[in-house]
Amino acid sequence: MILDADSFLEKCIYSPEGLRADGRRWNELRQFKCQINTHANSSDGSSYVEQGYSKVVCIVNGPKEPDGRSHTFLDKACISVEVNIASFSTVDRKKVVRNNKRVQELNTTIQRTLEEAVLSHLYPRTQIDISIQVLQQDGGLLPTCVNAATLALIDAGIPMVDYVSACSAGIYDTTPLLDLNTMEENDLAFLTVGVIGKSDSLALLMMETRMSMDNLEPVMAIAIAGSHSIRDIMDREVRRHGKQRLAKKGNM
Amino acid sequence: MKFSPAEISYLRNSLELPSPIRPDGRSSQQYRPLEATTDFLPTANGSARVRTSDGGECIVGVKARVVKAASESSLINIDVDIAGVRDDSSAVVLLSSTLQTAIQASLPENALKLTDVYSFKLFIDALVISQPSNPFNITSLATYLALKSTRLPKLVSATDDAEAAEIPVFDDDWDQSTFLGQDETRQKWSPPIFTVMAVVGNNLFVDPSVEEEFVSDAGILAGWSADGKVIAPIRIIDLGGKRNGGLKSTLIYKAYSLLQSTAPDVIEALNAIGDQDSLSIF
Repeated sequence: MILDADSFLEKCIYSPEGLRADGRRWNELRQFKCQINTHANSSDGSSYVEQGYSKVVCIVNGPKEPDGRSHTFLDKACISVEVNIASFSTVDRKKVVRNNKRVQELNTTIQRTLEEAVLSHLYPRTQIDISIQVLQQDGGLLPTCVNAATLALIDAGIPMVDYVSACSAGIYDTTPLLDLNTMEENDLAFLTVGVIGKSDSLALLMMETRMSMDNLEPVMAIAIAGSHSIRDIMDREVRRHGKQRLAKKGNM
Repeated sequence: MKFSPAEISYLRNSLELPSPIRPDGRSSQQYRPLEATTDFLPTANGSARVRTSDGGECIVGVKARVVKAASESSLINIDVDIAGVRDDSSAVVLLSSTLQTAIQASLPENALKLTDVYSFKLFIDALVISQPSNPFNITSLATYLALKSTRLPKLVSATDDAEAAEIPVFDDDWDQSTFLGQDETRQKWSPPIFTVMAVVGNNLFVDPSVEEEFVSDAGILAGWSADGKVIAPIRIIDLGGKRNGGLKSTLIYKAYSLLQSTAPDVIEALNAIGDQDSLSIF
């Protein structure tokens, strides 16, 4: 049998049986694992998130004395985000310079997303440092970072309106696909949403590819639904950790 | 970190005693307790994470790439990234250059060689996430563990391509892979380790904490190999304490014997970590 490369790849992304290359159905998330308070000794809040093969560590320090005038606001806290992508995070090693344009854009996107949810007016003239270490990437870099940052902020005890959970979704022909991996991200038009709590209000909507208007609605709907399930998983982890802390306190 | 005069004088005096008392009760040749995991990144050939009780943490990933040996100046590339520190700062440069020279010198000659033309090039990337005290110790330990867990795929194509050019082909089966530097007798190679020691008066302390660094006269950095031999470079480094002139030569001898007594315990502990299997770091 002769298969030409293009048609083979197309089949891989979404088979007629309704399965994707990694065996998921169109509306399934990848394995989502998270943990909070992973770096209790070195930070005020920390988290570790795995979305499929994407792995991210997030460390929050603050609210603290600002680094300088440029980091001081009189009416609210200054949230500064620094994403660091490890050179070994991709399949082929790639050194990412720190002030690379893409990374800086990622920093500001995450920062603006979190500003929507954090009650920063409670901490005027302070700074909240969020540092995100990307250990491994397999698609969904932005949503994984946003989820990790939310968890770390909660761990740090910084008041927020609600969780910000983010998820990506793409479109294959007319089928929306949830939570894309690298291979799917390279071939499909996709968008990323960040949802506040269980509502429909978006703190983040990012689309860098072209998608037809008719498809936008179903794709956004499934991305929001995916974010809601991620919120539930994160909430479960936060409660588990809280219970564990309480139990420890009870024993003392 | 800032200390009051009373704290400084207490620390300094208790560390200067003929039988010194360290603030955390360790003996002078003892490392702080540490937590480590190896081989948790599927996209890297080898990886390790080390963290200490004071919150210092380092993650190292090792990746190998096939290159033409003749066109590369060095087959090992070390890149250290310390959070919040510039890439060209002296600490980063010292760390990467010291590790690079020592690892290059210690790696068996043909460990990376594939064919007459092709060879592996190792990229060792260290990421120091937080470092309350000097990052040299944890980076060196994490690099050791990562290199110990590094596996290279098995070559299935011919090794002799001097006459007929051939692109190397590897076995798909990861179980057939060999550990880096492993020879025919399945004997494993052990990378060198570097230890920082703080000098206070006439005493030396392995793996100093922030408090100890603060009251130290200077730091001594020295490397040693798995068989307990002390290796170059041995140098005096700044630990942020006040420096007053040079060091007595007896302290260098002392450092030498101190390292030889610590080495077996550290190696034993690290190898015990490397033998465990893990897929997730938490």
